[in-house]
Amino acid sequence: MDKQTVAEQVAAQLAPYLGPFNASNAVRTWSERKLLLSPEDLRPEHVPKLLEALRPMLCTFVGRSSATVLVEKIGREVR
Amino acid sequence: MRFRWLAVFPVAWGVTFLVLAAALSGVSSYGIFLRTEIELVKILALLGSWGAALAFEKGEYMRRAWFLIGAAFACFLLRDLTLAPWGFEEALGTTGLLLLRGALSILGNLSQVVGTWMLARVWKVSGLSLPGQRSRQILVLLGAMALAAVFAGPAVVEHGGKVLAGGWEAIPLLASALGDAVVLCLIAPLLLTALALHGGYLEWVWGLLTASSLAWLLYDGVQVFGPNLGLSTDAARVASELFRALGCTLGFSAGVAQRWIVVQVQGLTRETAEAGTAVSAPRM
Repeated sequence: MDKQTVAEQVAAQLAPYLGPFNASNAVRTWSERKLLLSPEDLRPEHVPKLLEALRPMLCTFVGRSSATVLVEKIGREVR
Repeated sequence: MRFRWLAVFPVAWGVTFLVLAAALSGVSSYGIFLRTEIELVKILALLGSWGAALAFEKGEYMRRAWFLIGAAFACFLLRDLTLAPWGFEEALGTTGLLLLRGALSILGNLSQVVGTWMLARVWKVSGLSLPGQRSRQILVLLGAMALAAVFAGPAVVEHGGKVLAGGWEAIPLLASALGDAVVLCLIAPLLLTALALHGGYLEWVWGLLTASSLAWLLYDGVQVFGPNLGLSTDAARVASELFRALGCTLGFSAGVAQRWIVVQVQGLTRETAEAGTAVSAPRM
């Protein structure tokens, strides 16, 4: 079975909250905007910067403290 | 799974209300039943909104938005309190009491409009992408504006005319009608946000908020079109109270859904930290 890309792993972690459409869209938008990379080019070392870019959106929807722990959880689990 | 109960609850409330309204129709305590039910749904809407607000930290956008929605119901409940025969008129005088009720009504409507507007533009604040092409989004917005004009417009014209003719006592009614019109226009961004979040737990919050706004649309619709539809005064009253109950209880459910999601994320992450291992997506 093919391993999920980094972008797919991050989107999969966000999808339960934001929905699959918006989760992949958010990963695409912020990786292109902040890292100047397409989602396919994301590697594990890009994850912290991507998560920092996604943090304001998560803060709005689930609050600062929940967003922080969610970001930490994704950071730990994405390989 | 438990989110579904949040959608079932308003329907169950509505059915129970209809059964009780039919059973108590013509009974001397019918008026007390209606008034009690009205206040109960407003209390639920207040609790749901402030429950959601308190799940967020001080200064957060969503805390302010939910707090304002709850504040609207707090104002409406205080206004209703002045209807009770507890000596308010003797203490404040007729004019003073009317002014107090008017001020509470205007404040409540203002608070509801600003709070709903904040929830309706959360997609912009968060950087969320709305689904569909821009032209389709504009079509949805125009559709909502047309519905608002049809359902809330007549009340704006009627009460606006009274105010222009010097009837200052109609100002709270005009504020209420204008508030309804604006909130109904916001159905479009609420619906588009719900669609953008489709498949995620947050879809429940904006889905229930959209359903709540639609219930308020029908509440206004019964008042405007009830007589033309051949509804008797009693039937129109029951129908409008049904839609008020749905508007309030769906708002309550949206607030509870929001709180559950925030608390669930905190619980999930605490669980992860304690276990030091990955956990699966939360069971809802």
